[in-house]
Amino acid sequence: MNQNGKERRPSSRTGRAELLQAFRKAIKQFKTMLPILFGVVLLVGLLRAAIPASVLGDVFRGHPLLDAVAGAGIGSILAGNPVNSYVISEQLLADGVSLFAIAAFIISWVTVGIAQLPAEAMTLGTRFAILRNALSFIMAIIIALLTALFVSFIGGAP
Amino acid sequence: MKNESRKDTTTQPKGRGGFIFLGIVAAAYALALVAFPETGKEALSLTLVVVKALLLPLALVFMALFLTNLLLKPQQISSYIGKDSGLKGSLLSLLAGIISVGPVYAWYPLLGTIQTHGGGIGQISVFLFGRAIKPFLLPAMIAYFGWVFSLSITMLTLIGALVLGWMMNAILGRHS
Repeated sequence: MNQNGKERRPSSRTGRAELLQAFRKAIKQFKTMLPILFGVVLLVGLLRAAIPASVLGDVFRGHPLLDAVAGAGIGSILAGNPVNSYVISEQLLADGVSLFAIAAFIISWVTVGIAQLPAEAMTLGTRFAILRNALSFIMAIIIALLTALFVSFIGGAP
Repeated sequence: MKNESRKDTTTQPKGRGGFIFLGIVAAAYALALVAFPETGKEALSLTLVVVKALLLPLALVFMALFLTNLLLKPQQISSYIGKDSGLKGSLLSLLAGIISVGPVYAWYPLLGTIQTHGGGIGQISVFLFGRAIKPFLLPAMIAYFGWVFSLSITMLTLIGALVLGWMMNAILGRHS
């Protein structure tokens, strides 16, 4: 506000300075995260190569809760596009794996990330990252159990 | 203000930590390439695929970071998605999570900035869990698993995201 009580318009120089400041800040924030991002990308590739989809079916034993826990566990370790989790799940379903496991696998694929945990801890805090991933893991199992129950009650199982 | 500066030092990643993490992963790669050359090579080719898929989301995240720094003041972020923003803030975060694209780690720089600017712990958790809902992938999911499974899992994930946010706020919100 100036002496006459009118709001002062920002000059073009001030606007440009603000733009430059915001741009520099974004580059700085981005640069700090780059080694972590690159580390996570490398780790995701390594985990996906080390755990081939063909061995996943051997983990499941046919117990609803244990299968859901196993599904959530595998989904937490693997990562990638959600469509990949659908393709793997379809193969697991064809091999006779239960819906409890499939639903937990699909949910935890996106919501829990073991490979991403170091990056999440460095950005959002260690306590936040550990608690969020632990609660998301439990939530994935609960959602899986409820989803499989709904499907068995309503019908229309895949 | 005092609290804000404390947060800055605890939640913003330090350059050294990132390089140590990268060094450990690179060492694991070297080990894999020596001990299991086939697995190591396959891991590298899978990494290249991920890097290519990451370029667009990273560009979007950079734009979002720039616009956040330029247009949003910490008080505004706090009022939209701060810990006291309530259900409205959680629903806003859920919507952002649903429409977000690309791998989750591309979003960490923006989420870190939002957290230091007053974004709520619960709301950030809602965003991260809500990413499991992808409306544009729903037809594919229905084709693979049928509509009962797909709609059930989607609705339960919506509710689960909000419950998770509430739990995170209840547990960690008091200490932040």
